[in-house]
Amino acid sequence: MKIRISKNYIATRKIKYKANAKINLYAYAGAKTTEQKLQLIQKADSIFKLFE
Amino acid sequence: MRLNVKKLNRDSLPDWWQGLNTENGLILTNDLDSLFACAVLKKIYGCNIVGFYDFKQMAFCDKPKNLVGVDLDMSRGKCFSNHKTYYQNDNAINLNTLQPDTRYGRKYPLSTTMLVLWLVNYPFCRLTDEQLKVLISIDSGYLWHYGKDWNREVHAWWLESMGLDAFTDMLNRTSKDEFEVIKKKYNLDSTIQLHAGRLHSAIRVDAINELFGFDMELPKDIFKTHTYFKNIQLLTWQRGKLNDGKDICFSNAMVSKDSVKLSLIQ
Repeated sequence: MKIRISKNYIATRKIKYKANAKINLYAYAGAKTTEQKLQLIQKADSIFKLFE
Repeated sequence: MRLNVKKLNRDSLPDWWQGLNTENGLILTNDLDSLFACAVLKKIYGCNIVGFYDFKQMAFCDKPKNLVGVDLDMSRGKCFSNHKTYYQNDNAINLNTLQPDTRYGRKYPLSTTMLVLWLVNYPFCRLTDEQLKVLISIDSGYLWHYGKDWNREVHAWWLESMGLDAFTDMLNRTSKDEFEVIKKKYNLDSTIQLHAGRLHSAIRVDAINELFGFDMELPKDIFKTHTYFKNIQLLTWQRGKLNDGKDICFSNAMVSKDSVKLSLIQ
């Protein structure tokens, strides 16, 4: 039996997933704790200052 | 649908580039587009390359200060770039910021080198066919001319808006295959790599210098790695959740209409 899934259903599921998904860039960069996150932000600030 | 041609105005871009001088240090990235643009900036403003960035690491050969990224789509800070970006950078010299239509298919299709040469009013009309072909082959800037009708129209729009008529004429009498020959002849697609502190590349820099009467060269200094980066690629629908993290995203570029690449400071 062929199961048919409407395009609207897929779109709805995607939107729901999009609403729930969270992408934590700090974790990707290796900062797992708040302290590590703050250190990373400070390091980034010092690099960006070189380009001001 | 016909695109309205409106001459692009240099004054609509940030003006810091007009004050570049020997105190500014350039950050080279890993291809000819960046190297050529750095050579033009050095020739006109006297800025030297002091750093190298290849999306995995940033290394310096001199004390870094007053830096400018060249062919580098930074999230913050001064840079020349040519990609559509996810994060808006008010200091970036990027022609995509002048394009009122923000769809990916309307993006600036040429190289950062062409952008820099356009900014300094380079007399393109005096160039030979071979010189024009090399310039537009950097970053495959000719590709959209041979693409679908719409790409071709967008490509023509940019050339016309930038007043680059010399390229339009040349493209109309050149086949796509001829550009592949040019690319191979000068090794234009080769990358620049950092090995044991020194920069290496198979780009035929000497042949390009001879063609343009130019003095472009890879720095011979020793580079020391300063920062490492982690790269991720996200799909368009995932981008919507990036409400946090801009502060550690060093560079970002949309590489297709569906995806964006981010380099995060580690």
